[in-house]
Amino acid sequence: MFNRNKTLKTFLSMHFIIVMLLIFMPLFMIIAFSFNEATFPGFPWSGFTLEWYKKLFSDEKMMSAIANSVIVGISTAALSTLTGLAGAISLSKSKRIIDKFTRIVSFMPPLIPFILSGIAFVTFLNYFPLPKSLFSIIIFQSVLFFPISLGVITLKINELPAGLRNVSKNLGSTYPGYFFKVLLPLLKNTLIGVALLMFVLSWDEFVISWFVSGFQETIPIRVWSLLKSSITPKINALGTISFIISLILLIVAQRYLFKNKKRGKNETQNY
Amino acid sequence: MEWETKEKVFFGVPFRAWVFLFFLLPLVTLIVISFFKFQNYQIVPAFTLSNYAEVFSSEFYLKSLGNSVWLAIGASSLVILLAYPFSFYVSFFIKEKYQNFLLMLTVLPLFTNFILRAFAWRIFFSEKGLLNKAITSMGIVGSSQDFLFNPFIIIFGISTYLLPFAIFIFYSSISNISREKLKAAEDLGAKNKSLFSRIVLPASKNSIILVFIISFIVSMGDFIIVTLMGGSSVYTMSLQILDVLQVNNIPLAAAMGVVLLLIFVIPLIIAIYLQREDNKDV
Repeated sequence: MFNRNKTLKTFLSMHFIIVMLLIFMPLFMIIAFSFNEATFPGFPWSGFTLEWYKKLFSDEKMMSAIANSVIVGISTAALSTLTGLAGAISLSKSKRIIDKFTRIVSFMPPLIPFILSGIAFVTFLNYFPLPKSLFSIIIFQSVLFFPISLGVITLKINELPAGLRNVSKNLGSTYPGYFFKVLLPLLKNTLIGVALLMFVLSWDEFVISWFVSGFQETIPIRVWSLLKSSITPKINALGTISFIISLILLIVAQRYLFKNKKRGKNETQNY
Repeated sequence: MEWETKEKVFFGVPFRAWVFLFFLLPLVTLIVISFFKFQNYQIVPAFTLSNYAEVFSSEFYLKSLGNSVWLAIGASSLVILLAYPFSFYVSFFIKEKYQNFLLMLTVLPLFTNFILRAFAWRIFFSEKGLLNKAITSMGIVGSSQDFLFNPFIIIFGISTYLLPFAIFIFYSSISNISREKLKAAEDLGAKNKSLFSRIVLPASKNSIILVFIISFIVSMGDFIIVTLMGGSSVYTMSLQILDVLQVNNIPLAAAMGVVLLLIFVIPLIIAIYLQREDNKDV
């Protein structure tokens, strides 16, 4: 097929290398500069140091931004996963017009330019008794990301054997019994995977948080205000650390989502 | 209570309340406010088209709008040109067992801070940056070149940001194309060219449209890369909106936002229309 054509192969492998470089160059630079002695992140390399990591950990504002990001990340993960679950349970397969409408609207948030949702949310906050705080960041980040959890959980629910509800019902289960002992255990891995993914997305979300945050700072907001005033390699240290944290979370998330796929088959066979 | 009723009460109602209160209501508020007046630094409820008139009568705004659109088109096209051949290469030239690993590798950089990544590019292209060091020491040019603060670097910045997403979408589409079908076509004497134009391209057409739309939306709304790498050399609609927000003129900002939204809705409708036509063929 295509891979027998030598010219095509040479051309495409060159292209492959260039694209890989484009993808990895910023990552390499951030990690390298976080260990570089020079204050201005430039070339050539001037010596290895852990100074920036020390400075990072003694910077109170940065530390509180990290703490805020953790709080926001965990809460957003929980809220957007729960709303996604509620939506997946109540919307699937319904053919009423209002449900079709809700379904379409539910997938819109990530499709609107973020700056626009940002203005909409901040305007809304002027009229709505909700303070601009970490709490509002959590609400609106969840609004932004729940469509993704909704999509993934809906897919998983549709994969479940169709007669599950009726079987539980006929065997005398109550609805909470079915929900907590049948549905939730089957969805457990998907939900954990989705929640971790939501955390990672929240961790790097800037535009919406920036609009609705008031005076609270998360990591991206802190980075943005630092970059606008002064340049310090501290932020590269921060970038490296958040990279490592997100990477670990992603690997864990992927394991759960993947394990789930393998298991799903066996479980279906049992019915 | 019936199970359906219980589901409705415990999940359906809160979910609808959530979507309507925190998403639909803010959006509607924004649209309504775009018809309000802004007088003496106060928002006055009214019904006026003057905000829209201001957007469309000011040459400055129209030019920014134009800039936003062509930057978005540029970035979306570049990201397709970079990502499509990449995904094509991965799915046809790389052994299957390494494909997933490579794909995981491409999303890695997404997990640093994206503002920092844009800033890293800025350092790379700066006067004393790696690129200038490299080309002057190799003697390609005599003195340092100014790469930053022009439209092309913005397009470059946005497309490198979008690359991993696009690669993922293209890969999942291209790798799903049936190999048996391609083999069969080849056995019947089809050349690579027609294999590509008559099987691969039509089968991945929707993914190209999807990537274009996503890239378009992201670049229309971006103000980070435009500021960091473009240095406001090109004024876009999002920068204008931020300026207007500085003086709290929310009605005008809302009107600008609605215009931005309409511009993005048009390609979306075209895409949906194309999709429909597509389904008719089948």
